[in-house]
Amino acid sequence: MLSRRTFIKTALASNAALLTTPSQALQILFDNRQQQPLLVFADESALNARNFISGIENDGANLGLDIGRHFDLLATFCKDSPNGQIMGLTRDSDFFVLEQLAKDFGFYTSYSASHRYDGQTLTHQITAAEEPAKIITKSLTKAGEQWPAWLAKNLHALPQKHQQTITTKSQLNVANAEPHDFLVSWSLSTSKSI
Amino acid sequence: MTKPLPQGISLGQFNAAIAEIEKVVGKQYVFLDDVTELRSYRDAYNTTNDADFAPSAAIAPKNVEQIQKILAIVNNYKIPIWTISTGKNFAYGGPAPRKAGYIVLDLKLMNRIIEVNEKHGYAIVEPGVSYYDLYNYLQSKGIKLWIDCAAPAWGGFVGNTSDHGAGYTPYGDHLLMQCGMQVVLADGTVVETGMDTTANSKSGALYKYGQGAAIDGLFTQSNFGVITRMGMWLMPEPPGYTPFMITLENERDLEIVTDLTLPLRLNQVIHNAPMTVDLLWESAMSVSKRQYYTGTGPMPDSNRKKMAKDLDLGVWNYYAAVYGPEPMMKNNMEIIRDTFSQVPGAKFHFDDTRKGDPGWDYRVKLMKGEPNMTEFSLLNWIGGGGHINFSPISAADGKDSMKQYEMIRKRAHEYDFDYIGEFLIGWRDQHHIFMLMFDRMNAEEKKRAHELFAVLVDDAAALGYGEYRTHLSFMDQIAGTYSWNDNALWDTHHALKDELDPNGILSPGKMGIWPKNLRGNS
Repeated sequence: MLSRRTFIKTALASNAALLTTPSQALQILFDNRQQQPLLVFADESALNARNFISGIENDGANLGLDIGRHFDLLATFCKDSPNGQIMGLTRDSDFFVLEQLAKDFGFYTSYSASHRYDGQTLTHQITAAEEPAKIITKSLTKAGEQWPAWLAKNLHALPQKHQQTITTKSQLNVANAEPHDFLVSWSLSTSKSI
Repeated sequence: MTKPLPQGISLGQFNAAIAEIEKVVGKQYVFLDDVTELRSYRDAYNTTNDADFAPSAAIAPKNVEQIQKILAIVNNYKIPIWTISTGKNFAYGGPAPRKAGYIVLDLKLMNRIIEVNEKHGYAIVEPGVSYYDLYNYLQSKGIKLWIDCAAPAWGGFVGNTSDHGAGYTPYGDHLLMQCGMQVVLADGTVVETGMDTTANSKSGALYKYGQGAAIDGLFTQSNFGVITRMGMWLMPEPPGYTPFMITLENERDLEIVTDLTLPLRLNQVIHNAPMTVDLLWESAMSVSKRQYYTGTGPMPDSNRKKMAKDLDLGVWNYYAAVYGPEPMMKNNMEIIRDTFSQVPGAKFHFDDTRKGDPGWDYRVKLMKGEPNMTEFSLLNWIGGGGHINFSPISAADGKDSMKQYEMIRKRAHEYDFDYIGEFLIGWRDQHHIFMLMFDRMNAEEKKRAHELFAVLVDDAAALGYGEYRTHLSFMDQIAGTYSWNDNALWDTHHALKDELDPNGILSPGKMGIWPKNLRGNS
């Protein structure tokens, strides 16, 4: 079980310190610039999610196929870090489950995007407040096949405010869609804590 | 965005009611924000429009007294409320109400484990207690009792039992294992069922019936009251447990194994409900469709065969377990082996060779009541997967298995969907779960899924099959198939509804039961 003390201690160790859980399940970061705890989920089984997490830290992160193993950690983070942000690049089902659980702690979705490969086409579909949705869409498109790295570098650019959302879409051609499965990136932050 | 409101209620009336409710539960437990808070009370897997099931508010009381006060307020304003416990009933509507504008009565904060009795093997819990909660409690206290959980297991006892859910241990018939409940009626009256209504009773969770009519079932799959407490029998941890899987090579083996299973179930050689799971369901635990087929429509046979070979799976995959002392398990396994040796190509699998396979691992956990979420992997079969479950009941008879399978697969393929399904053999019946998987971001596909489901209800009814549970969208249609003797059963439901809830405030439309004032509109 992750303790707040451990978390802070680790967080102070470096500018963007990292703590990996014993199960190597996910990564928790603390960004001193923002003074904000982050909980990041990434699915090691997907190449793009590995690319994403390697942009944060070289350690492996494996969500596994049973998201239920991480319920306690999610609950602990939500209780201990009401100003925190939870993000991920995961399978759709993992996002769905985490989103449902986090709402009981007042954490709601402020950004979500699907990343779908079909033939030689990559489609990003972004749901967020209007202005960030447009910026993220443009940036992901510009990043081309390196979009997971762009996401990793710009975790704090992901919206945290809860506003009326729009959905934008961009499509681009990719050289090799074969190894990539459907993934979603997302961000949850607090609206009202109970 | 226009605020969804209950039918016939003005914004002024709604706001006035909410102000009164806030005084009862506190502002922090009243959820009104459509952008954030109420989004999570919608059904992400609906096949129509999100707005069709959008609540106007959600409220989370902490105890029976608060529920009584809330009921008094909504009775006064005639505002419908929709009761949920943990709200995880996805595939059947999740936490969303039957109609837009209802207020969701979310019982998640009523999450006390009131009693666990190891000697007599039961627990009494409130509606917000999840399977994980009780499992963790038992583990932490070293109590040698098993729970029986649904898959996936983030839901709770009260909600799942109330919806006639099933599990995978020998205690898998949840309503059968329910014993005693506390219910708040629409007028605020608190009723204890069974023995708990006698003075100083200590046997409320031991004997189901008491004296007089046994009414517990009236409060399940219905809207006659709000269940606030429930007793559940728990299985003592057995001295041994042997799960097994049999892979089957041919489609028609489904008929054979169903018929072979029935006597084994009736005579308790197999203790739990065996599952015959189709190839795609099983494969979806570890791979996605895209890894084997990038075309449109159902996966072709050649691709299925390659996938089955790669994953060492059958066209059907049969799971069950035996429990008890070693000699008893050994004896039962011998009978089971002899029985299934009649099926050409049937291959047994056990933990020694199968451990580590996601499909095997999660079934092994489920059959011993260990909660997990692995079954959600199914939703990644296609990217952005949503699903609703079509769940007809039949006799545990091989001919019925084949008839249902062929009927549903044919229709699914006509509508360009994969057949993804499993059969669970209960005491004498079988549940057939067809998981109708669609891309929830694709409006055309959702519409097609909706149309397919509606056709399946009629097809099944024509063959004499009724569904045991269903999604919000199809509650009325399925209620219409339970129509023998000029709708006598539903007339009885409606007579009870009108008597117990004259203002029609409790979950109107649940399973097709409508209050008088809304019957014309349903």
